[in-house]
Amino acid sequence: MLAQQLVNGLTLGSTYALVALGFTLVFGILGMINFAHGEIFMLGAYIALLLVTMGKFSIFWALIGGMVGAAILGMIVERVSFRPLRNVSILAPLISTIGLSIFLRSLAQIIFGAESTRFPVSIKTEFYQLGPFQISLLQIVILAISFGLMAVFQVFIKKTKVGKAMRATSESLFTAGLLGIPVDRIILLSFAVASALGGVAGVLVGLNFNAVSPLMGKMVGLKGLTIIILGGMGNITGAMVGGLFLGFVEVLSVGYLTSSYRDAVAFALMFLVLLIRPTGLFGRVVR
Amino acid sequence: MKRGIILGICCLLALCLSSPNVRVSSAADEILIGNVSCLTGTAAQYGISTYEGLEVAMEEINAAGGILGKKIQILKGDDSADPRQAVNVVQKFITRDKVLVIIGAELTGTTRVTAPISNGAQTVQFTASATGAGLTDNLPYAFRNALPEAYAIPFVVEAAKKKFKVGSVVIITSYNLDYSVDLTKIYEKALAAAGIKVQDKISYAEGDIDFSAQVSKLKALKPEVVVMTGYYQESAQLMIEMRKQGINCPILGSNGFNDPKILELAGKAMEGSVWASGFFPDNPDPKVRKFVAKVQEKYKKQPNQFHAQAYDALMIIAEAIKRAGVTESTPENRTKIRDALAKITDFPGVSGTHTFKPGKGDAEKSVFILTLKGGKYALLD
Repeated sequence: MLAQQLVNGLTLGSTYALVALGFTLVFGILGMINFAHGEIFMLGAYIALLLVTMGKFSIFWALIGGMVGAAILGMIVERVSFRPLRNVSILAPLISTIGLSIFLRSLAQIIFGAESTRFPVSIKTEFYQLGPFQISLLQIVILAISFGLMAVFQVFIKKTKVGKAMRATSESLFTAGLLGIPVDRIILLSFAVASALGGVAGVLVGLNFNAVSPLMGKMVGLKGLTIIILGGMGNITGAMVGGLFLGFVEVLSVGYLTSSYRDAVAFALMFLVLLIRPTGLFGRVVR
Repeated sequence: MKRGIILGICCLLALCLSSPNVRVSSAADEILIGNVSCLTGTAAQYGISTYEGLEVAMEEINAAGGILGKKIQILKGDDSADPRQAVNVVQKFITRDKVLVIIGAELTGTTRVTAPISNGAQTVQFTASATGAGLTDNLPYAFRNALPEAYAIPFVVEAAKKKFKVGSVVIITSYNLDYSVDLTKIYEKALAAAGIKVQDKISYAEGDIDFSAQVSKLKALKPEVVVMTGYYQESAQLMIEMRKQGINCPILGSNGFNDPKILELAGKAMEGSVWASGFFPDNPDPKVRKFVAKVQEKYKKQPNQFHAQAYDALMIIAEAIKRAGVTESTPENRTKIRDALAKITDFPGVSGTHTFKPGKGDAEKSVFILTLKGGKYALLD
């Protein structure tokens, strides 16, 4: 059973990591939390679902569509609830994204109905036996996409010009602006990238668990938030490691304790980590 | 100027948002019945089905001239499956709308907190779908025609024992859902009475989307039969995950299995499940055939137990109002309706024959044991 649970934990953890990456990117740059990120995750899944059911697109194009749609939504979120409030106070954008998150969730309930819907496509559910591990094609696809995107994202942020501009903006909005970096555009782009990752995660979760519902973003959003606290606010490696960590802890506590202890165990462990390293696993002491 | 416009828009929005609950017609020429239900949230399907069933009954009654010359109007109150919101809705029905009777709530949790409020206000509250234990106990104004799980589950366990020769089961519970926790206790009692062992218990939480860990644990236990006690959404996902990981044993379910939505979500994974129902849509009874045809025509869907029981609930209430001979909502009149309702026996409905025994709010009625065979609901042979 342990081998199977490790596969489960890896799959769950990699989708958590994708969600957390989006959170951490926005936090790293603006020092603010986008509470609507969970809803972007949910809407990404719905966009893909619509493409498959109404547009009769293949799942590959649905995935791309979910990603692009989520990116556009992310930019709208930035324009509507971040940019006008950026210089008002730290709290204002926080509250406005909480409001936006409730709005988007209710809107999804009105448009798509409150119940969960099934993805009509099912990638074959047969399992491959790799030594003690039993893994399905879908799980392999999910792992490949998640880790692939994480790798691409790392290269993007470290090597490309835009990535460098993002990092510079995260150091200081003001200085970056002085150095000629188009700060507004970089922030908008960060939201797009962050939301694209969230959208993909939504599609993958919808595919894997075969259900898309307006409420699916709520818990995932909360978990993404805890992961970036655990990994170190704004730290990209931290978000990935934290996501996988949470996935494993949850799955193993369900497997070996009971589900009722799952969240208690996960959060107790986080608490412990924060006691020992108050800045999170990979966080650095700021100023 | 700009601020004024924005303020104006906000006010307009606030008005738009609050208006659906404002009652337009006067109560004098209509009988107001409040329906507290979950039209949004995780159990929305139950609430929507219930409302559709009520609507069919209402149209039928009104088309025949109403009750005592007055038409019925149903007020919708959405509780989002949240007990706190349900309390607000019921209080509004009683104090502001002054309804004659309340129908609902759909869920055990929301009914448990609202039935005592209606009872205190001497208003009949009639639930057509909440199935938890003891919901009407010690509340003379609380009634239901849903099959209480405590009444139906022993039939399911007996049928499963005969069919599968089962010696032990694994129970899956949603640990923070009172419906599921209640149902687990009921199953444990019924299993013990039938001499079947509970091999182990596995739990998950409401709102979970990943069940792979629970199912891997279940697989290691090699269960003979699995008992599921949650709502349709999570149950469907558990079924899919079970079949995906190669567990093919029968599943014993509950009231939630009656919603076609679970079949739509789970598909083939639901095959071979066994559960109890107060309603069998393929019943040849002409009353049932007529009802099924009406729902299919109006909503383009197959009616389920929730449609049927809601329909029967309103029909029974209409009968009670007729017998009491009163339509104005005063405490004395509402008590008369309660007394008339409590005396109804052998009422023929589409979900079986209903009888209220003295001192009991739960209707006694017949139980159908259903299974999924070749993608269709069928009686378990």
